[in-house]
Parts: sequence; structure tokens; C-alpha cells
Amino acid sequence: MLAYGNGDAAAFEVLYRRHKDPLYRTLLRACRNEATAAELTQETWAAVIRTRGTYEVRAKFSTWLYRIAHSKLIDGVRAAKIETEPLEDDAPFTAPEHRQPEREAENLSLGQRLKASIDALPLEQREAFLLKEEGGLSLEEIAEAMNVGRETIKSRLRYALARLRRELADVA
Amino acid sequence: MSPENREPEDQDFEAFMAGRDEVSREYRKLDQPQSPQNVDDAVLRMARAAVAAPRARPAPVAAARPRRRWQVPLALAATVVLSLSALVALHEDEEAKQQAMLETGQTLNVPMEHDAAPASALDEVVVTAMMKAERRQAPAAEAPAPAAPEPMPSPPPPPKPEPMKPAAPSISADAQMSGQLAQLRASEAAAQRQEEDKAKKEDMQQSMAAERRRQAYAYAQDQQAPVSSGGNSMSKQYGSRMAPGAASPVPMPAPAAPPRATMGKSAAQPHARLDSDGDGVPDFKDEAEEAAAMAAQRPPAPPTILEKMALVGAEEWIALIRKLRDQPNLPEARRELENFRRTFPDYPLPEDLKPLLPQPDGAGK
Repeated sequence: MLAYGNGDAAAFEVLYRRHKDPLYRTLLRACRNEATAAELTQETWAAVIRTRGTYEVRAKFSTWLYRIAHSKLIDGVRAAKIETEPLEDDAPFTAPEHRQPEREAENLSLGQRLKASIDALPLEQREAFLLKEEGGLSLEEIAEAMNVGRETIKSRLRYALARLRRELADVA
Repeated sequence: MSPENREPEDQDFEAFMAGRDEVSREYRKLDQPQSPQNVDDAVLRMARAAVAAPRARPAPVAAARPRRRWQVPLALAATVVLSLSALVALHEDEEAKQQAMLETGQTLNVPMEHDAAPASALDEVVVTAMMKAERRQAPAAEAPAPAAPEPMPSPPPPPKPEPMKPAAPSISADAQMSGQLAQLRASEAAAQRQEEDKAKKEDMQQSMAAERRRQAYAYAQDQQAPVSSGGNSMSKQYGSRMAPGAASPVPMPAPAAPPRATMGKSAAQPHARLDSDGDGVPDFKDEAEEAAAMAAQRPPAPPTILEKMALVGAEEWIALIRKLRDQPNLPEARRELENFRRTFPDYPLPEDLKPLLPQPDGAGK
């Protein structure tokens, strides 16, 4: 990124090809819409290009990149581009029996059910899970990218993991 | 805490964070969609364009630094120049105002003893102003003197004689002689005028010194006068001298009155009065009495510049009265003579004008 900030366009291409797909998948599975994901991806990279002159090496580039992506995601939520659910970790599923993910997942493959379970997670848990799986970020890095405390992220990940395991256990 | 002592949830969470969990393994088996090609193209095009274009942000910073470097010195220089020019303009304005006051016949109300150092320079300015005023009033046909408008301390060089040239065929020897004679006369007139100017200047400087002493004396007396005398006694005292030609309530002093022999003693009187017992402590007792004694002992001042101006005016006025008498326009001549006597009560009246004075039995009318 420093090389690109000094005018090396080829350095940006290397950087882009390394991070473009994980970033896109994170945004795609967070917002659950391809067009919105493409738009947010482009906006994220445009912000990286604009702020290249002020970039400082204070953290990993991926942490900085996903922090920008998180900001864009929140902007999308505020602009009602992204549907989200209230963050109620202990709330029971209130959907009809035949519409509950567990029942719907019974007729799908394991991967498809996992994907459906991820989509059913609240946005904050979903995003934290995706940052860990797609971005490869640690607890501290996820906390920095999402601008919350480490324990908050740990709690969100615990809830997300418990739900997903339950889905997979039911199948197993 | 060792891993064995941890709760199963913690161990599962650590396994998940390390990527060893079943959820992580199943997630990695999911399809891996890639970013759309149009997004890739747009982003890469944007990145190249940003590098190829001149950097907008650093450029102004680089351009602003040198401007900041010369802005401060320039502002300081401009401030200094403006301040100096304002000071010079004020100084010139003051000089012009003083000169204008002097040319209109006014005197300074500032006591001269407070600024004794520039007194000679002030004399010079006053004298030159007076001489310029006299020259302006002088008839143009008085003498073909060389133009010397600026009264400089050094006399202007005499007109250079023209180098001898071979006589032109159209000019006769008489013409040459007359030209040389004219030059000779002009140089003689110039020299004579310079001597006259010099004498006038010395005379006026002496008069100015006397006037300054007199004003200092009056100022000292005014400062020590009782408060009950009230009003601006300075302005009253000097105001009476401001307009010699006007019909002021205070008559003009006699212009040609000679100084008395007690002049030197009286000039030192104000300072002696401040400490009459000589103990170094100013004596303020019986100030009214002392002021009255001082007023009695005050010597008549030597003729001042204004008095000399008044003298010139008086002579011209006398000539006017004579002219009126000879026309003959006796009523007008008598009226002018009465005005003259009111203005110059101490002026010695010429004998030939005394018959115009009103006689007790009305014979003169």
C-alpha cells in the first residue's frame, strides 16, 4: 500500500488481487445481495484509492481494509439498502414451524444449510463470523475493524458459533 | 489456566478461532464466489487514473509552503513602509501647517523655553517664510534679479558671465557692450539683494530670539499666575497679537519702541521669582502680589517680527492717509487716521498728518 501511495500502480494490483475476493464474499454474505455487495466493494476500494496518501502502517492492511468495508456496510444499512434483524441473541425463532431454518435445512445439503444458517444470523454476528472466516482476522483485529471491544466480538462469535453448530449437529 | 482446565466452550471457541472447528471446515467447502469482473475493471482503472493524475492533496501543501515563507517578511516590510510613510506625511503636514501659520502672521502658542534646541531652526524657517512673503508682495519690476525663490543659507552663485564668443556679424559692438553692462548690473543687483537679505535675516533672527524670550517670560508668568485669574490667559495674551490689522480690543504695542536698559535683569526675573529667597525652594507665597510687581517691572519687549510687520503696515497705512488727504478726500483721510490711531496708539504720528486730528474746538473738521 505504501508503494501504491508513492505512485506504483502495479503494487495496487497485487494488493487488489490478494484481497478482492474475500472482501467481496464478506460483503456478499453480510448484505445477502450481489448488486449491493458489488456496489459496496467498489466503494470500499475507491475509499482505499482516495486515502492512499494518508495511509499509515498502524495495523495490518486487511484490518484497515475491512474497517473501511464495515463503514460502507453500516452506511448501506442506514440507507436501507441492506435488510437486517434486531440483535436479540436469546430471542427464540418466531417463524412458523415449516419456515424455520432447521426444518428448511433438512431438505438441503450440509453446505446449503450452513449458508442458510449464516444468512439467518444477526448482522453483527454474521459480520464478525465472516471477518474471521473470510478475512482471517483475529479477535483484536475484528474488534478494531468493527470498532467495538474485544469481548463484544468474542460474545458475538460465541453466539454465532453455537447456532451454526446446532444446525450442523441436527444434520449430523 | 491450562487447556485441560478450561471449559469445553472455551476449547471449542479456541478451535474455531484456529480454524480447526467443524463449522470452519464446512464453511471452507462452500462455493467461493469472486468479485464481478466489471468491479475489478472499474477499481483497477480508478487506481491507475489516480496514480497517473497529479496528486491533488500534496500539491497544494507543497505550493503553500513557499508562500508562507515569503508572506511573513512581506507583511513585516509592508508594515514598516506604511508606518514610515505615515510618519513622514505627518511630519511634513506639521511643517506645512507651521509655515502656513507663520506666513499668515500667527505665532506659536508653545512656550519657547520648552524647545530651546530647535529654536534656531525655527527662526530660520520663520525668517525664510517672512522673506518669501515679502518677495511675493514686492513689485515685479523692482529689479531684474536672478530667480532665487528658495532662501538657502549659502548665497546663490552669481550669474555666470557668458564666455567670450566671436561677435556675430549681425551684432554690433555696442550691443555687446550693453549686454555686458546688463550682466554687470544684474550681478551687482544680485549681490546687493543678497546683502539686504542677509541683513534682514539677521535682524529677523534677533527679533525672533527676543520674541521667544518674551513669550517664555509671559508663559512663565502665566504658569505662576493665580488660578482665579481664570480663562486661557495664554490665548488671551497672545491672541491680541494675532491680528495686528484688526480692530482688536487690545492695542498693538509700539513697533519701534527701543529696549530699555533693564532688559537683561528683567529677562532673568521669572526664574529668580520662583525662588526669591535663594534657598532652592520655590516660593509660592503672595503670588498675586509678586505677579503684580512682575507686571509692573516687565520691560517692553524689543520689536518682534509681527511688530515689524505692523510697522510696514503702519507706514503703508500712513501713505494711504496722505494719499487720501492729497486727493483731497479729507473725511476719508480723517476716518482712516482715527482707525490708525486706534490700532497703533503709540505710533509717532507724522507732523503733516496732525492737522487731520480732531481739534477740541472742531477746527480740524
